Amino acid sequence: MADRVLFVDDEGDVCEYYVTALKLAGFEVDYCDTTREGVTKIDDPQQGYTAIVLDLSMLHGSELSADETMGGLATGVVLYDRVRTRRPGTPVIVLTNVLQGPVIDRLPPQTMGAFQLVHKIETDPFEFAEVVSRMIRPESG
Amino acid sequence: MKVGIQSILCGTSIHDLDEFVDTVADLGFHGIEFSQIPSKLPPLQTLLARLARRNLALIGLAGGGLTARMEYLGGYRDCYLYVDEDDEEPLKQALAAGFTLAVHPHLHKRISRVWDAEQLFEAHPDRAAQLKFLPDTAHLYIAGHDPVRAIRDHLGRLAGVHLKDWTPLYGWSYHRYARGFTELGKGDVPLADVVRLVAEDGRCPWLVTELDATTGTVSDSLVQTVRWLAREGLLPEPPAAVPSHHPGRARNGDPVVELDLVWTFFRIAQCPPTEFYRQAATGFVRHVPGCEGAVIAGCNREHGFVTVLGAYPEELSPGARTVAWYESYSRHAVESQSVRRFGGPEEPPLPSHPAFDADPARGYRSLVSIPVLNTWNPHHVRFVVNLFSRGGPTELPDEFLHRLAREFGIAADIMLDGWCNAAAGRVAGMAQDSDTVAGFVGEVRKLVRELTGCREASLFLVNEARDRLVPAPGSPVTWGSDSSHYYLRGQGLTGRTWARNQAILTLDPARESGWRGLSTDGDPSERASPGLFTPVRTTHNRVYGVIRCAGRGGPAPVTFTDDDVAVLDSVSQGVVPHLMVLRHREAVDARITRVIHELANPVTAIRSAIAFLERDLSAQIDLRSALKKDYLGDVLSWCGLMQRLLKNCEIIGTEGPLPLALAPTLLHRDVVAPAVRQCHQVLRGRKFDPAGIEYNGFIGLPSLTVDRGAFQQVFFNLLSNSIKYAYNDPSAFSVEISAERSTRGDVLIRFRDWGIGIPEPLAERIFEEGFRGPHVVAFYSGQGIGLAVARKAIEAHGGTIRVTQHRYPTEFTIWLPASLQTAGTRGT
Repeated sequence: MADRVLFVDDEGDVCEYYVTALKLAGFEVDYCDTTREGVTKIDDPQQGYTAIVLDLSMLHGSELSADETMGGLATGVVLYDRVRTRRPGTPVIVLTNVLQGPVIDRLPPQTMGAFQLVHKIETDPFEFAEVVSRMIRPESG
Repeated sequence: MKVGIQSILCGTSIHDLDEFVDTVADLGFHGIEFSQIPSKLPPLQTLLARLARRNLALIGLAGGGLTARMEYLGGYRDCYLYVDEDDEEPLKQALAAGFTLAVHPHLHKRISRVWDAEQLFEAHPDRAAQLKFLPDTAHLYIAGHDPVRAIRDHLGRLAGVHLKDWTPLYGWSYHRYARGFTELGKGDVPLADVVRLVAEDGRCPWLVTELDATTGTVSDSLVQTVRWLAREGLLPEPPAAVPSHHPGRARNGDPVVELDLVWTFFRIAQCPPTEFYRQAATGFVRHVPGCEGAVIAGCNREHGFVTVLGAYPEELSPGARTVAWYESYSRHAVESQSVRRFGGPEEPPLPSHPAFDADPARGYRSLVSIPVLNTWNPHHVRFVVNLFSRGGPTELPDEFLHRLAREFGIAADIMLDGWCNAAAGRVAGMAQDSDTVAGFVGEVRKLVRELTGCREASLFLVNEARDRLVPAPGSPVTWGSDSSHYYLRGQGLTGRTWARNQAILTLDPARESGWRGLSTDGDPSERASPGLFTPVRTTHNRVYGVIRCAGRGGPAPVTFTDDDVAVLDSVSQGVVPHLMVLRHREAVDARITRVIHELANPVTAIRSAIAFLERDLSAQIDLRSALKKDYLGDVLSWCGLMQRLLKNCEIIGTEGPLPLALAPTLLHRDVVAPAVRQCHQVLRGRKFDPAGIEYNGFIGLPSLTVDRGAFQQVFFNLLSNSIKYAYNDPSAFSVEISAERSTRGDVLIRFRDWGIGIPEPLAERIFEEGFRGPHVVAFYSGQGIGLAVARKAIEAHGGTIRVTQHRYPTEFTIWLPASLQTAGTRGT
């Protein structure tokens, strides 16, 4: 059975490439292009995911507040915390073009198998698919 | 460790040594270091006896040459000799004679830095027991040393520490730096850290507090010093019996009270306003024969009220009931601009002062009101000095009283000049330490509260569109009935201040026409009165914002005054340039951030598309069936989008007039069609059909001489907004672009879409760079620059763009002048 990845990112025409690369790598990808849909999927215990990919800067919509998401700049951080609460063992990859700043500082240290921060602009879709694979199976290197 | 006092506070000679000794002993000090030269001191044995009477030690001698002091002391060795010059011969003699020398680095002396003292120590290695270190915390601080570190490095060599505070308010110049010496705790020197260091070490024998001069009495200054020392646990709290505001001479012979009234005025001209007026009132009582009470009132006929600025004695200070009483009597002098008298045989009677209603016999019987004209505008009465007497009318001639009043007015001018300059200096210091607009505004608000005594201060700034005042970042809004907290020009007292470019002072804003109501925060009655609204102006006298002060605590005056307006003018003049720089810097940073964010996506997409092109995916059986994709087309589309984004950056980033590359242009062929093509990537993202965009009327337009790139950008930005804000139903997507030409030759272009619309109050704000409506920020991405670019580009061609319908459809109308028609062409 294919590993299932939840992919939450509101820039559909850019992350389409990453989703495709994941599919080509054999993953089943559940893609959400709104924060609301992402929250629903994260909270749903019926949805099993081997890994979760989150964008960092996303429109917060009506599910999350402007204050907690810093006006949308840190929506991914709020979602990350939500994943940790509801799916503590699930590896999370934050895929973003935000390279530095106070939002990045709010993320935890990277740990193979638990959390990785990947810069979109520096990582092509196929490289990204390898990152996800290594996160899910760190022993395979 | 004992605590002593340096006698320099008394001046070059001590008027009454016993009084001074008693004062020092009563306050709990353990000894005195004398700064007066030996010829101004009694013989040594007399001095020692007087000190011994109150169990005080002779800590050291600091005044006069070293030789004179050695002669004065004779064989006495139980004190040190202060040294701040390194004259070799006297030093050698003093060391040979067994004296203890306390080396004190002092600005503008030959020993001015710690290393000067260290050189002296190194030059006499065998005299470590006699050559001691006497650091002065303020002199070290001004010289750029860290006092704590300098003292820590020499803990084993201390004769004592001179504890002194200093404020940089008056700068570092040779003649002015000493003005910054101030009572303990009022300056910037890390005194508490020094005290903690020496106390924990335990080897420092003396802490000697030193203050060269004071604007108050010596007693006042000493009491303030002792209070600070008590807080640090070094001395007990000062006894209540020490007189701090005695009308006569202070116990230690403060020279201030011995001078005549005019000298008093100029002496106190260096005080802050509140203290200046209080001491001036005190001065009138001390020096004007027969005067037993004085009240100084400030006048502003335009605002229609009189403000009590200072009063002596305290019982004459204004409360709510007395303000009206003062107004009614000062008014006579104001209106006549001459001395008015009450209570004399042929003069109007003087009713009992409200302070003495319960016991009229204690009250004042006569009053002389003296107008003080504005030095710079002699038609205006600036102050009224009211002199009261219990014993009956004074016989002082009007001419004498006018003369006194004039001198007082000049001194008030000098005082205010100094206060305003000091305020401006503070602003400059704050600007250096502030990295953000919010941080700087926060400091400005603190400074305004400190300078005016107001309970809360807000800063409003005129927005980019110059159609409203909005709260500055870092400035809370303390009152305002509109939930969005902005003021249109002329609206409310805040907006009226902007429109009139003039300060408004009001006893109770709620009584003024134009008052918009109270915030729900806090106690409305507390915040309502009094109020001060003052414009913040650029150097071209253009209103940049409004400072608003609410409520006033503390003693008189109970309202804001013209002095407050003057000081805030100074503050504003300093604030505006710094605020402009900070805002510009933040705007540039925000712009760069937006650019980076906008460009990151297309670059990522192009890189990704190329990665797919590079891969041999022929082995992926899914490719042909499910992943048909024109990656090369994607690259071209994203490149086109990036080109548009870069053009936005170019236009919005151009300061001043936009340079235009003008060329004859057929809008249909050269602008509209390319812009629609370039929107295909955006349309694809929303799964909208390009056929939803219709344009008509352009064929018949003549050639226009315009910048094609700029116009393509305008059309692209408007189209991409229409696509972005369209509802999710692809079948309902529709954009209409129409053009028509008037009989005069003007061109009107209308963009219509059936998307979410624009709230009417935001119709102009949406053209501000970086602004995004609150109804879209959470749900639609964007940086808020598209419409700002469109307006800038259109206006660079002499045209206009505005919202002409808010919803169903949303309509933008561009007007282009007939002058853009290419010469020699006509409609085709």
